[in-house]
Amino acid sequence: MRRLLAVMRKEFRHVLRDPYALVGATLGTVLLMALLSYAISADIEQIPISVADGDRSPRSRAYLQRFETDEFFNVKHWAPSAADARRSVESGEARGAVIVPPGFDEAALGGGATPVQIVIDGTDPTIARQIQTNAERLSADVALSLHRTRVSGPARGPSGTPSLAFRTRPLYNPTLKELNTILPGLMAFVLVFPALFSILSLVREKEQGSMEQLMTTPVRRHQLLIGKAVPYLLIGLLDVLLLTAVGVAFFDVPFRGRLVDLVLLSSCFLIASLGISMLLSSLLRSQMAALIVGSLLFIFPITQSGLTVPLFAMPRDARLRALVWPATHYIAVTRGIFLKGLHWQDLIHHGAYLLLLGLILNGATLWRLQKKLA
Amino acid sequence: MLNRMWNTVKKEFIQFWRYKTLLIFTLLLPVIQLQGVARSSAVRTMELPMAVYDQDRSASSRSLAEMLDASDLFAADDTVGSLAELERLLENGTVKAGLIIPPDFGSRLSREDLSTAQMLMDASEPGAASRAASYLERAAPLYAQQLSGAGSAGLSFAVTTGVEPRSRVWFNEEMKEELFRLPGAMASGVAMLAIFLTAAVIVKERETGTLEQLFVTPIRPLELIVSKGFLAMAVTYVAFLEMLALCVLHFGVPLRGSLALLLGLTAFYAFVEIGFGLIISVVAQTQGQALLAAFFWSLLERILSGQILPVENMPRAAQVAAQLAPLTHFTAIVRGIMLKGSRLPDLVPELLALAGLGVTLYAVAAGGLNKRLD
Repeated sequence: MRRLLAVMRKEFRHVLRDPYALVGATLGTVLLMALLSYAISADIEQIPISVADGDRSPRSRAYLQRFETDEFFNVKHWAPSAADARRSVESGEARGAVIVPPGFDEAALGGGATPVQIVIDGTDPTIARQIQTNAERLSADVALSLHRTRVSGPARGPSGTPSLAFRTRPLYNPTLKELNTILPGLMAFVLVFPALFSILSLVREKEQGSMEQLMTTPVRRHQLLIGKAVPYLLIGLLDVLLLTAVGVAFFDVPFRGRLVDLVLLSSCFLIASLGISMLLSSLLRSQMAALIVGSLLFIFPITQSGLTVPLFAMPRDARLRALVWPATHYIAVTRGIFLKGLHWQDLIHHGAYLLLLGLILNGATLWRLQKKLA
Repeated sequence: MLNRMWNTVKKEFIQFWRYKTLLIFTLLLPVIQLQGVARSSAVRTMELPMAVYDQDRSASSRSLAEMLDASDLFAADDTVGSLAELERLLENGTVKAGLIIPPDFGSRLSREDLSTAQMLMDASEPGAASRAASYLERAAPLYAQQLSGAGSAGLSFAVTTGVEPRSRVWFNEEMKEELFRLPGAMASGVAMLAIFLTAAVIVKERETGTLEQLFVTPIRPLELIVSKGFLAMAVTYVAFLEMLALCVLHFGVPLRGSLALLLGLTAFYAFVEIGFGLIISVVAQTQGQALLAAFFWSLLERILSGQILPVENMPRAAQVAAQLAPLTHFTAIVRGIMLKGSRLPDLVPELLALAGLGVTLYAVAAGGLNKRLD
């Protein structure tokens, strides 16, 4: 125990002596999350589109004006012709174009189907799909009011307005704010800083040869490993508290769970990610290689862990692969605690996986250290 | 001068070649990265897993659930017998939506009274939740008609509504998410390697004290830097070619523009991004600091570049910051050439921005370097 404490004290001194490192590991983390959250805090709206009115009737103008008043769209350009509207999509000036053909008014009054052409820039499918949905929504609105003016009579029943209504209730995030899900998810990525610092510290000792000196002291391997890891674990937990405080105070993200649960499960996550860095530093010889590989490993999961694409929408093999990354589990943990107010019992399977992964990785490191000596 | 530089370049390559682990990782990781991005964004379905709590158990309530299941927005995976059970499934994330059909649903519907079904939605995935909510709003009248037996099987929105939006998607006709994500992932791979390799190699020489040794040789500081940058450039470029081949040959990303243009602009971009690595290496004292700064910037730049949220949706200040990140322009270039078949004249704004950033970055780096040498 005394030896363990000695290693820890030494590691803490290393951290404290390099003020850049300490500031980087705490304030840097917070700063990074604040910047990232700020940059992506906006919800997708005000999509630039252009419209072309080939009919020039009061009704077609009213239809297009619905796009102008809607928050999702931002009508950048009333194009004089359909070709002009299409060109604005081609040049990237607009993400989509709504083109009303001549004869719109007549067809609408006659009650027939009135085709309206919507041209969508499909480069970003997420936005393309939203443009499509919203254009359909506005068209349906307009059509319904057209229908009402045509059909006068019973206001209810199968022939008139709907007799069925859905009451939708968004749970956990009633305002549907994107940031409320993104911010807790981002914690999984900005929390890699302590892990990266531990890589640097360990490999530096190897590079400078002081690792061999440590090995000749009575300190046992596992004591060395734990003593090296614990200070970074504590820095990580401090980061968790700071990040939570910033998220709640500055970004108004709801925190419905208990802080104890968050700290408990964050420790599991940190043990797993420190396991990755310990193993890497036992495998690689130079700081450069260790950090390049380490940061690639930590940044990779950003697009594959359910942060941007929900897990249920992925094909089966991608979902299984996503479950390998610690970040995937930690995102489920933070979202569960922040938004759903879950307790640790509800998230025990994520915690157990993280802990198990941590034990395996750290065990492998220990085995490497032992073998190297033999 | 060329002879001296040639020797340094040779030294760099020999050093890099000798260090097999790093070599293998720089060539292997992009492959793993692209594979992961491709699979996880190959969105098969946007169907929300749904649990049904049917309190009515009538023919109409059953067909309502069936109709929702048949739509491409919901998948009725579960049936539950109580509200508590439904809440539990939503909480632990097994389902993302819960349909509650009240006991009087069928009888109200046959009386042509307004019948209401409730849909609980897990809004911790706000995108999917709001899409489903807007669908339900539009679909309600259609469902009502079908439930009351008035509707025929092939009923479409056009018949009920009168305005029929016909969407045409350009550039990415099938709205394949991976076609959009892969060029972006490729661009950020280039960015990361260029910054990391440049930042690391220079600071490493300084830390080990070999930089001074090199300075007393006839080679000039500037020549030394250029030689070092050349290595970063070459390795990055090889990795880029590898990623490009994978994207086009394996993942089927179209290359609609000119290959020569893409290759040329990539070289130009890598050159600009190396300027960032140079600045970091001039400012940083230790390899650790350099690498962490490189990591910080890579993560920030990746998010600013519009790979997670489009730049035009970011808050004003973040939009400005995005313009200062070379990766933003390069992402637009790669997507433009590959997906839209953009030609050189279309890309002039991005090119000018890159050129301006390049000049600034190199001026700052050169200024910093001169100061350090004095």
